Amino acid sequence: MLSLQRACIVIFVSAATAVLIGNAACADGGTCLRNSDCPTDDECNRGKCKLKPVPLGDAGGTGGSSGASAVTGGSSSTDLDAGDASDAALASDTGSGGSA
Amino acid sequence: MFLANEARAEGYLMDGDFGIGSGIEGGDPGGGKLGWRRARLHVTTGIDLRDDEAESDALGFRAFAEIEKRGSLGGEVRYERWMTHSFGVYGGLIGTVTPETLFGGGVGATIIIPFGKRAGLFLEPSFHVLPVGSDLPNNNPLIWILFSAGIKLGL
Repeated sequence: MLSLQRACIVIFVSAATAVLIGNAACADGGTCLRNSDCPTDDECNRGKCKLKPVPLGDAGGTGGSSGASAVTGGSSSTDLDAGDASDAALASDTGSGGSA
Repeated sequence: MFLANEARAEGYLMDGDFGIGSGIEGGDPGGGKLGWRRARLHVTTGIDLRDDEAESDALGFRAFAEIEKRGSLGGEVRYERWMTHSFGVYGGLIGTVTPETLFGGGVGATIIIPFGKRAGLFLEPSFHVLPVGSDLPNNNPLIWILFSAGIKLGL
């Protein structure tokens, strides 16, 4: 019984130490590092959870509308930073595809 | 280690273990800056198999679950080399399979504090690099520096 108590104490202390070390090292607690850090409909993009782009097949459009649907999917993101130059570039790139 | 019953004939000796762990997790989600945070809590169970004629070498199989955020299920296969009855090192492959995939490899060490004839407490620091999988937001690998502890039983 004594050894079991000792084992439980050691496990608890070890786990607490690991958690403390982890918390101390955590510099960016509010950001994501993995896609599974985000809700199911989101993905991790530059450390922030953003809505996944709408798949082309789900947009309902045909032919040349595929580029436009990609733009729509990107701009519908709730977390999309309007001032982000890369997002603007992405929208521009995909938008040009829609005119084809 | 070396907690299993004596083998009756040529065959494998088996140890089972159950533990929990956490640590720190690092990666670059984009932007070129490596970020660190506390790793998700892992719950791990598995077995070690070793030949009764070469007891210093063992093959370990682990299944684990991460029980924070959306969680994940994964596994690990490792080759273990036991330097003494209570200290060993290992290297192997590790990965998660759901809800996203993540694969890589790692190394670690295991320290056994025996209590009783067939039971022991294990302490296990480890280092893993996971460069492949759908869980990565880009092509930068994820790094795990983990510390696990738990119970090991001779089966």
